[in-house]
Amino acid sequence: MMKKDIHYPADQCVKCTVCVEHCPVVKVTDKFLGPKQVGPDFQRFRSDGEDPHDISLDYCTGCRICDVVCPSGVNISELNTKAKIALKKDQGISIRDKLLSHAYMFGHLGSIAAPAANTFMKSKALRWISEKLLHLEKDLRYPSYTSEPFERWIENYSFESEKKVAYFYGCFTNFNDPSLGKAVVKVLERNGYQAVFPKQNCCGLPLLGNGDIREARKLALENLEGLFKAADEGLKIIYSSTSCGMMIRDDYATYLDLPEAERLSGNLVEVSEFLWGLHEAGELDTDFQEVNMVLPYHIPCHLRSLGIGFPSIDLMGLVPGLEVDELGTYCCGLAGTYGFKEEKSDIANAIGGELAELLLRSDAEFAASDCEACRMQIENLSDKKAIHPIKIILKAYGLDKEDEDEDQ
Amino acid sequence: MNYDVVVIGAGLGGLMAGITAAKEGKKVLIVGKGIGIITIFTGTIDYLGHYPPEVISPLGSPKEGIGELIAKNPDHPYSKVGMKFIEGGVSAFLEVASSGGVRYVGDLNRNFLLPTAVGTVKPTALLSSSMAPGDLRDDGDVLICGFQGLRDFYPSYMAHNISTLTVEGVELPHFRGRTVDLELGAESSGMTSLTLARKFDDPDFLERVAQALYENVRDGERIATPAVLGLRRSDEVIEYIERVINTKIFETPTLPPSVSGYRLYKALEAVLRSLKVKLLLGYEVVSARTENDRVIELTISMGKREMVLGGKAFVLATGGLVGRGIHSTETSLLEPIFGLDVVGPKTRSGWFNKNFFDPAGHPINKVGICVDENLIPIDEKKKPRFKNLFVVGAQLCGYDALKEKSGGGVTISSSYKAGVLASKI
Repeated sequence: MMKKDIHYPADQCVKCTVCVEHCPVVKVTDKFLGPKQVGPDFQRFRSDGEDPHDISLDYCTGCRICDVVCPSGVNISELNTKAKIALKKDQGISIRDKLLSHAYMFGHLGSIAAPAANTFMKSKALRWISEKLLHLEKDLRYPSYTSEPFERWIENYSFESEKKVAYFYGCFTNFNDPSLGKAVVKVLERNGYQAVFPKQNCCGLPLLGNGDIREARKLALENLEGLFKAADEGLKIIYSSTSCGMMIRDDYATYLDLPEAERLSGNLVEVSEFLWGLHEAGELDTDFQEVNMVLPYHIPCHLRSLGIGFPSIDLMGLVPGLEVDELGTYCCGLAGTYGFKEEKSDIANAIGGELAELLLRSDAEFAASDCEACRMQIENLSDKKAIHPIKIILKAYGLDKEDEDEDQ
Repeated sequence: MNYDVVVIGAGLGGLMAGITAAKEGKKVLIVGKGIGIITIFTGTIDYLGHYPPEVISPLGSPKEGIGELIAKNPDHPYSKVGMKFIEGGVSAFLEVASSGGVRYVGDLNRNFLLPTAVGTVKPTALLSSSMAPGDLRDDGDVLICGFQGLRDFYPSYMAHNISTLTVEGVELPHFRGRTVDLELGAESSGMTSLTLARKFDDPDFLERVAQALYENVRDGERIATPAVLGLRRSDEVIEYIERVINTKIFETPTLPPSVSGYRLYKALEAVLRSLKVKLLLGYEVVSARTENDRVIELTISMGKREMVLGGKAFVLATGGLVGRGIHSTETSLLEPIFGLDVVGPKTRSGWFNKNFFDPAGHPINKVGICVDENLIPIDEKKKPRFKNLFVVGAQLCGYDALKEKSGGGVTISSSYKAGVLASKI
């Protein structure tokens, strides 16, 4: 075998442009030169120690569709992300980008004073500050914070079982959507699994997306401590955010110089992947009630690049009465913090245009996606309530009522 | 997870085989390392452009040529597929393309003769309706209209090269080239055909183009443009422009990225989705488990996680040497997944003839896997290797797609037949 360093795959590029054709950013703007040019093409200069100084790299959303469609096995997104990190090292990171990528910190603050924080997030004053001073997109709905973060709810969680799994819930579940965390825990419980919760913080992906690998690495080290402990106990580690899962499983080693994270690779399992695994082993409780609806479903980009198939489609396929309508859409456009930036929000919305068109054409009340950013974008672009597929399973188990009671 | 039919490869052949099996009511999965040539090729399906292959002038009727070829050459993929499935494949393809939202025209009785972007003649059987009015035998001189800022399309160059051509029995129309400036503000590096095509979604832009074309066209002329006339609604774009210019307009395929190929891909992708075919992209087949003469399952991976796919039947559509379905070393050619026998020159010194323009073509362009009448791979002794594995498209041995201009036709015919037969297992 040839040496598999970063340059070798770049030389496999035959310039076929399949990645350019499928790049969601190139689709809507010419500000980004495209994955082929800034990736394998410019890599030839970089390999020779030259710097192409390409600022258009900043427009890459990090969706990784390029990797998925490339027929030659080129690690395009890796080339681009590493170049972006180098670019940010040169240029520095703006205050705006620092604030956005540290959203998890606001989560801690926001949940302490949720009602006030939410009012403030919606206030004209904040809108003005964010638009004029920080160049944040003014028309986007910001996720609202909960008064009871998931980490507080689990303090009183008492189910016990011999069968245990660790659950990495991520900061969005923690601060913005604890009902997802509860759904995951209850579905696991229904199948006899007790969820345990390793010490955790934000996975660090927003920081990586903004090129801040120093800060991202700090968070990664915090997380690894808890996750290694779970792995040492032989536990599977479930995640319900495809982006967090990708970050921990793949990106800690690739971008944060943490090769030891690869040890977790076998333990980390996406929640639907885990449940589908139970089903294949004949161990999943399939005593489902009918859920009569057509459910538009958007595949998150990072689910595509996880290489685990589309397990939530398979899983929801077991629910009687449910018709999952996979929309065939690539990239919702929000791309983490990308869509919150003033100069990029038009691009983000244009990328999501096709998704919006399909959603607006549908009569459905709900739309599903496994990624919180996609769900935010679905609610931004349409009249649908966006849900994680696991909520459907919860409903099919008849456990969703309980959930509502509790929330009230 | 278990499927009725597992297709390996997401190019034209893989998608067509998958669609065919799904239409037979089968549970189908297509797994591809990436998207194959389909989004970057011209989008025209050439069945037989030259026959015998060394003849330079284009073949009039692909059907007659294929009939003759089948009679004389039992090892050619068309002979293995047979006329019934070749014709069945044509109807199936036309139907699939149309249900996916792109209109294709043509049949096997007559080749269209299309002008290419480099000013040569391309004989082809099935093509997007947006290209059909470009036939060189049709009435009307041609204004080739390019757009300032678009990469790799040079109207005057195309016109000049066509003026030097002779095609037997055809009086070629006069071509002239013009590049119109739509003030696109394209940077010096230029824009790709795909970027330009997307701009046609904007009604103001469309109106501007139509106006510019109207101002440049002369009485009695048709207009040729690069294939950029809209990405998703090209029929409407063309209809609108023709109303303004009051004459025919047709598209000429461009270098990659190819809008005409992309439209076909999106159409087939939509059909796959409506048939609930699962399409997994970005995965490589790590290994195949076989028992005696049957393939049982595949292990696929994107790098970190392995997944096992069981199937009753399997279709191998991973492409030829260029498409990497066949690998080569200094002294061998091999098919990496199942270890099938690849027929062709053993050493690289045998790949090419001395004369680059040798009318007989080069041995390397004919390498492939030999199959029986059911498209089942056979070994040196002509014994079937696996009874539930079908091989299609560029991977087949015994033909030279470059010389014959038969690549698309062989792919559609063989993948259609494989889809039908795989459904019967």
